[in-house]
Amino acid sequence: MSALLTLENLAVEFATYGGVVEAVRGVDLELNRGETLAIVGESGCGKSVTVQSIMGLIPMPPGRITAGSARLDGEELLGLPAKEANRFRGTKIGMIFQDPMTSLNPTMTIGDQIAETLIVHRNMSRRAARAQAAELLDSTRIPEARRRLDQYPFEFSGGMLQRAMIAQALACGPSILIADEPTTALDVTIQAQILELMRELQAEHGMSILLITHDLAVVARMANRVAVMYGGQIVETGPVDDIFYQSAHPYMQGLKSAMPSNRGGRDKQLMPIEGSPPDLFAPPVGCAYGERCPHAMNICQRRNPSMTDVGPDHVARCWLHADGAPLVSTLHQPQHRPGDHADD
Amino acid sequence: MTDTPPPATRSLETIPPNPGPLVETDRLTKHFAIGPGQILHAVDSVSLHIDNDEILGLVGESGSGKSTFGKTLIGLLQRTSGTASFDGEPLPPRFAAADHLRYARSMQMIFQDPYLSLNPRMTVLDIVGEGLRLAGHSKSDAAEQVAMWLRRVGLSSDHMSRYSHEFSGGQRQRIGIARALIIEPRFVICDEPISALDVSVQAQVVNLLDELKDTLGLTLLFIAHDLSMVRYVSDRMAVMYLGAVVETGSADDVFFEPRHPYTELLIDSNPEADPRLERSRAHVPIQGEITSPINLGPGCRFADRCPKVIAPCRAEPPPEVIVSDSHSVSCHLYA
Repeated sequence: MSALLTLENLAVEFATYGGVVEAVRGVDLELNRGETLAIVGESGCGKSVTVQSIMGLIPMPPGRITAGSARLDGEELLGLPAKEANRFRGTKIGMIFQDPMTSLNPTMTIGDQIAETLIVHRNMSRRAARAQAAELLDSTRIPEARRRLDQYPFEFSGGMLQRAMIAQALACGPSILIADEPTTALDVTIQAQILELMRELQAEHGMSILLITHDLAVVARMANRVAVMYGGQIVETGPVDDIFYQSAHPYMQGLKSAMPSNRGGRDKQLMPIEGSPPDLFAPPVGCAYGERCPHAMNICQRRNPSMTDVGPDHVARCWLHADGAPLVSTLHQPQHRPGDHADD
Repeated sequence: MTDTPPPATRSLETIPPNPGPLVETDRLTKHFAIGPGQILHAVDSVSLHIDNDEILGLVGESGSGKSTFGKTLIGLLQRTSGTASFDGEPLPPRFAAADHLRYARSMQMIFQDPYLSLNPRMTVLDIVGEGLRLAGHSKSDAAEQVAMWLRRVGLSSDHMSRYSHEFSGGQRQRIGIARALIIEPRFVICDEPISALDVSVQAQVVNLLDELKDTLGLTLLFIAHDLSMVRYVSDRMAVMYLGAVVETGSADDVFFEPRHPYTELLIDSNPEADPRLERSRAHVPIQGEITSPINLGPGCRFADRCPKVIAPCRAEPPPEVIVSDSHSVSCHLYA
């Protein structure tokens, strides 16, 4: 089966006063039809820049896509003239953002903002667009949708705004919904509502979801497949269960050991990942995680590993999985400091 | 030669700690008058206690009054009514400048936003050492202690002369921790100390607080909305909704056996990093959103969103019902 969206060797850099930041350094990604793929990583790892380049949202300059391709249904998206790129935005790909308060126009009514998409992309009349906007708002379970159309963003709560943004993103029936940290600004109860709404709408419309998040718990609830990003590269990709229960990259293992597990009592000491992410002004020659990795070897500092198969549909960018690498017996277990009660 | 070594019970002879809780509030209330006839009930009649060496986790949605409770408790906001005490001694209803100076030595606060809570025009030495200098320490003594504390929180003493913008979020939060703890207070309010940080850094800060709690004998009020982390960190947990505490108990009791319908829904909404568990859970999100805390009626604040609402909920305030020694819930269902 061919993928709906394919990224190959995508590289993006930004010119700043401090020099050139290599924000994305060769990302390969496939999004299949109807699936939810989560890109997970910490701040500054390049996950947002990756999806912004798909949407043509990278400000150029200072940004520059230096290499790679992004194909939707076989059609190249990168480097399209603005007019053609706009055809994709909104019609084939819809996007929602972290902060709905600043992503919507405060001087336009909610109804006009949703209708605008339909007027621009579907050549609808204002009247027809407004009628459809009401239906869309209603489908995101906003009570009294028709009355709400004439309200401004400040009259909506954070959860309602995110629903309105989803309505806008889905207006033209896109085949992909990109959700960039859609619930990070929301309370956990509202987060649960929005995540559930996204799942319901996906079941109704059959679109693929590309979910960008730093929150592994949200990944566990939503994703079919996961891509883990670190230092501008994808370091592990696989089905959600494999990523969580048989993670192959030391970074993903480190993240899991840094989080509390919800079993009674204090079952383990949290194991922070020491150090900080690589400086992307001068990215390391070797593995991006090498400096913080408890299993780092000589080669890790010298050469960046390529993706290695570690299971069905499961790959990791790590020398530990290369042929002839030493067997690291602790790899699948949380590690304990000496003196910790290692009773799990 | 009657010189016998001190008996093994020596520790009992040191200053006897106050037998009661270190911090206690009784019906602590903070209302804001926001217009003619409009009262915002930010904190309404909250009675909580925190024992010596205990970590009390305070959870709730944004707007539930968690931070306002903390700020009112240590006198950053003036309370409307109720009482608060520290180490058995009542705290003044309105903190004068002298009260702030006096109580700052025993009560400190670590603020949520490491970007906004450090003065950008002060060096790290000035920020962290300010409390010591106000307490009368000499400049050189303060500098020495600041250097020691920077190392203690995992920074370097070379960082003293830098400004806060030169640090990452995790490093700034450590500066905030050093600033609060250098005075060696007995009680610290941590207001969302980790929510602005990445996962790997969260663990660093939590472990640091934990270690300092053990070495300094700290008592903590840990305010956060990340339920999993609060359960992990806290001994006891209190759940707030619209200015009122709806449930308190040991962290495990509240998390694993919640009694209040709001706590149940809050914990059901909390996703966990476990795909199999997530697939097996019924996803029935709580309906609606937190209502307005302005001019609240007499009944239970959660009645409008509660799936188990019964007749008395809208008419009378819910009674506090004791579930077990350490677990109580304010709900008509258990009356």
